[in-house]
Amino acid sequence: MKKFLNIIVAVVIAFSFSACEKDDICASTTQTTPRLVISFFDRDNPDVEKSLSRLSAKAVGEAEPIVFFPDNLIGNERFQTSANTISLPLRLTGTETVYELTQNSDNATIANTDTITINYTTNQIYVSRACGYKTNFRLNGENPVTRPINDTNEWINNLIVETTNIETENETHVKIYF
Amino acid sequence: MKHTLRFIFNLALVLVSLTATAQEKKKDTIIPRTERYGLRVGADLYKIARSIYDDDYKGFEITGDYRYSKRIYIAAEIGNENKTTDEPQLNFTTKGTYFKLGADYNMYENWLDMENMITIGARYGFSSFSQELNSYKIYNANPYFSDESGLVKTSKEFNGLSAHWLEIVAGVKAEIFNNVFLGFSLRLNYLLTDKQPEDFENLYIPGYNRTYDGKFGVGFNYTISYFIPLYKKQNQPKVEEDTKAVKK
Repeated sequence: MKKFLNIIVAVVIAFSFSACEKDDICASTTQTTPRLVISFFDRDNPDVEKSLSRLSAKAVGEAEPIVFFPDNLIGNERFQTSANTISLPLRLTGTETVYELTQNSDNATIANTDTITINYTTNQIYVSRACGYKTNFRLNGENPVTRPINDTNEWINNLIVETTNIETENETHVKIYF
Repeated sequence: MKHTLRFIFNLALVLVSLTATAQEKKKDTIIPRTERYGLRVGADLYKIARSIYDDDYKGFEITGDYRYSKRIYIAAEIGNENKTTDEPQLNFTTKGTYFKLGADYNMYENWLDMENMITIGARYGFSSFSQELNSYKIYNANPYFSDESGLVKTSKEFNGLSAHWLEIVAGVKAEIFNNVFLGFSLRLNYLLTDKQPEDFENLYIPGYNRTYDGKFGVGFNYTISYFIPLYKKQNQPKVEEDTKAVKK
């Protein structure tokens, strides 16, 4: 009986080691809610990608522009990109997101702001225990992205929607020529 | 997976201790033994206790086994669970009933009229259940909008779900009072099939417990049971060669 009790104790101890576990973490490689990927091209040479000039992107209603460089803590530089591709988060609730895209945002005298409105419907899709759900976007068939002309000095020359299904960030959804 | 490996190691540890015990059996006993056969019914103490202290859990399990032969016991469990699981990204309630049927093999050689058990066995499990998604979060790797948390309160119910699985069971039962047994069992579960909800997942299955990325899961119970003797059978001792020689 004593031997028997020893075995019970051994089993209980053995089991107690397996009783705790780490929570799963949503892997960064998992495709979750995508952003709208915009690539920029030369208006005179439409096949050639063109770099921006200190562009900042701010959604209407938000106090601060998108942080393109989260590691750069020095002032406004983290809001300004000179790449040829940007990724814009879309609102999860509602059917439109309005962005103000400002070229040369570091210089108030030559800064030029154009507004684009992205119109879409959302679709929520289950991913996993750790990631929960994600939202995919489908741009409207008519007027997927509108560009109200506010002034005579628009920097955007043309805008072409490449795909209306926003499901991955591995492709360009919208091309802007300037 | 790490969890599963740990479990297999633990199971191996249990089995090693069983082997050690099995080797120490007495060979020189010639006292005829009367073995009792009958039905044992019990309940899982862990599920009862958890129903009291855990507000998100209500459940019970009734266990039973019938002694079929000297070492083989037909065993079954039936239970019901109502569990709300709160994950960082998801909150859902699982409700359902399960049934498990199988057999246990008693590896323990008892002394005299003791009836303790160290068993290894298997079960087939079936569960019928529903999942209710209470709330979920939209995972957003790039949060920007200050007024968006991504949390969605909902009440989506997925009915008519089911699962089938197999279990390997390692257990012990000790007679603590006359006919009253205290038992503990560890289970490694292998999911055969399950009917998944649309646009959600069976993250918890009553009887099977939490699901992992693979097909394996784990479980245990802590039972108190009562043995109802039905009949007795004389167990003839094996007469050894030298005993025969003395009789001549």
